[in-house]
Amino acid sequence: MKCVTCGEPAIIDIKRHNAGFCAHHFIEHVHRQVERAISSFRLFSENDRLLVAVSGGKDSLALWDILNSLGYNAEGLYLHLGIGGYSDRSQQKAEAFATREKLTLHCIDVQKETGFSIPGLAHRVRFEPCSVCGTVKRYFMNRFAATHGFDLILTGHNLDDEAATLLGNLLHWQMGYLGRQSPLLPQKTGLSGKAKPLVRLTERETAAYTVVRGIDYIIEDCPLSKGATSIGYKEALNMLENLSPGTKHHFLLGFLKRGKALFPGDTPQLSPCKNCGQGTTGEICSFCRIIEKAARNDSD
Amino acid sequence: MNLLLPNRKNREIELKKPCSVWKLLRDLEINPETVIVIVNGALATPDVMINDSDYVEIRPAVSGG
Repeated sequence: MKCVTCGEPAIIDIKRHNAGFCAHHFIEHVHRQVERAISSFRLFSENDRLLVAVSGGKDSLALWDILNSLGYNAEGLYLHLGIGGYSDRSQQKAEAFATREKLTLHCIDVQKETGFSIPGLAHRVRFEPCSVCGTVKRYFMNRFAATHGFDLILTGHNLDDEAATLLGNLLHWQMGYLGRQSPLLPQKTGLSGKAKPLVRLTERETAAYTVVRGIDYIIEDCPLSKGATSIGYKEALNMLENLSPGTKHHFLLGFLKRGKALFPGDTPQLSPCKNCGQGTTGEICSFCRIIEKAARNDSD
Repeated sequence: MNLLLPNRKNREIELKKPCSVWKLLRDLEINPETVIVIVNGALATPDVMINDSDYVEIRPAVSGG
């Protein structure tokens, strides 16, 4: 297979573009897709202070590398979630990348901050670990961005992640979520804005990008994510993608362009949490409720 | 051929004749959309031919949670 741009041997095939790319032109392709996402969804500008949520996985490290290559000034935030050796290994990957690229990485140890690891919290409040983890990550990312003057939090959600979320929301007719799904979630009362610049790239492309750029990332999945519904949705979408290349791209980007407007874009009214001040629909935010419940169950 | 599978387990396979990346994935019933294939340390497209002396990593591209 030849590179569609220069005719040299290709290192990757991208069926939805009916193209193969050599290493040099693949990097160019990835950068172009991210630049297109930034400009077409008006995600941010060069003047914004950007905070990348870094997990040590392929997507967040690829995102940080791409932004750095494109000249954006982005710092990283790693949250140690206390998931045994998995959290230690992923922190090592994030730190090694930051050191190699001379980038600023901030680290927060969730167990030190709250007294609980994610598995410990999930056990005490009897919630799904992924749900607890999402709430805890949102809280610390928002808090850090607000107290350190960042304009926007950037996450490594890619085309597969967003297409799987869309499929899940459609299967359960989550009208409110469908109306709000977007690569840009603007700043709201007590909550920082969030953006997903990898929305035009598949997981396969971000994985290949890290290999080409020599980025060492944590390959193993989080041990708590086994059996997650989103993985089943991704499998279903990848089966369709294999039969008909471009399915995921048309599903997600077609929805954002044409389908989303059909759903009500009602935004829940937020007010500051009475405990922590972050935006919430009730009096106390879900993070504070989880911590209170865990502490209560701990003392029982 | 030394093979590292998506579940991160190693497997030894004897290749009597060279086979393409595409055929290897088909024989292992792996959806090519869910992995990247690295042959002797370099990314490989579906038409790349694999020999018995090669080290092949089939790395999962799908992450969940």
